[in-house]
Amino acid sequence: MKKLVNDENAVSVSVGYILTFAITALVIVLIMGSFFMLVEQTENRVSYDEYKVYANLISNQISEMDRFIYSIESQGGAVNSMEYEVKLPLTIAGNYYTVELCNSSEEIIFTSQTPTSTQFRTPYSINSNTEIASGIIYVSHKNHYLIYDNETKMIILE
Amino acid sequence: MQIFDEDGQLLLAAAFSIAILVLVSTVLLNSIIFTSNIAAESGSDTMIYKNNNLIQATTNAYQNAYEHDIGLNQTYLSDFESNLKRMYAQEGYLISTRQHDIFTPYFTETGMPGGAGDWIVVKNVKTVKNMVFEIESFDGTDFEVKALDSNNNSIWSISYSYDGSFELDNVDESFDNVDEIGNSTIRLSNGNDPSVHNIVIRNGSQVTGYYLIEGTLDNSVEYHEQRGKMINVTFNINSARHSTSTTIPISLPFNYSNNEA
Repeated sequence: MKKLVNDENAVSVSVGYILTFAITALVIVLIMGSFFMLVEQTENRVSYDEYKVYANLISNQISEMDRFIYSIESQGGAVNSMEYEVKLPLTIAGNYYTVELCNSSEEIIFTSQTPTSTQFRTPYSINSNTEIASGIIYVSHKNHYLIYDNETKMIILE
Repeated sequence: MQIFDEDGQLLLAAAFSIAILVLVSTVLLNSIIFTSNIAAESGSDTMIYKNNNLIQATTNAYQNAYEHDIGLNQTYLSDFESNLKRMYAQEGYLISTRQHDIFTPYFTETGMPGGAGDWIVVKNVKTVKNMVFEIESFDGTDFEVKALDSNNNSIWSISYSYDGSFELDNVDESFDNVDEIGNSTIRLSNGNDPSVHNIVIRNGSQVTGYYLIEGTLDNSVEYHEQRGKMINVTFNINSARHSTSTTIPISLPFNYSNNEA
């Protein structure tokens, strides 16, 4: 074995191995760290885009229902009941999420259930006498519907 | 002793190339993993148009049925409905209709008590060939049918008053024939007024009855505005993802035998 101190070769095998191993380990850790950060960033961006698509879908359906109700009522008729199915996926970008309809600010809000949650809000518009009932749904396996209630003249998301 | 100092460089170069490989594969995989989410359900919904088509077709059927039989030929209507069901079933819709009682409408825009009581019946009228108004019940407000010219001045007017008779203003001068039948029906024909006018109703929301007005418009198109009795019909449309149930009042044609006392 070569002497550690008095050797003039300036190359020690064990130190060489330790150094390369340490540098490799460091590089791998840095790569893994940036990998996860990249994934989370992409996740946020994709979640945002997906929420935009679904929120606009719900907003369109609400407008359709509203237009329908308005056209029936202006002929002197009445809508007894109306149900539209809203197809929402269980997870978006791998995370669970909630959908909230807010009556006071007239918005549809998608929020992801992660520690760093992303949120997307979009307004809806109603022209007739109907109103939207405020509520949050936690998206689950069962079907979700936009239901119009004739007695309270409200549209509920269930 | 030869210094083998290329060994370390080889290891470092290998580590860097592995790192770059991991990075590139991450970026590629990201797009594959996340684009699978973006397929969302899209496409416009045709429920409104289907419902409106259904209402229109059924309205025509009921009006035809009523013209032949004021009791509404049920065989004709059920044949019509079963054909309609077949047609809509091919597009994935289950429909059903149900009729309610025939009733006498109010003189409002929609015929229902909540409709507008002051409204324009016909616009841009050039001539009135035939006009019949029949009052069924009267609840005490000043009910008026009048013709307004472009400055909103009244050319002629007919009002129905508390004591159950018609008050005519300039009507005998504007029409060749004026017939009052009983206390509740008035028939006029051959209006000779040269100016273009609108025929309007005022305070129609507490009076029930039937009317018919026909003649020619300003652009030489003929018009036939009429409303006899009305009937409420409930429409149910169900598809795989939507279902609606609406009730619409359908107006039936004016029937001269309504006023045979």
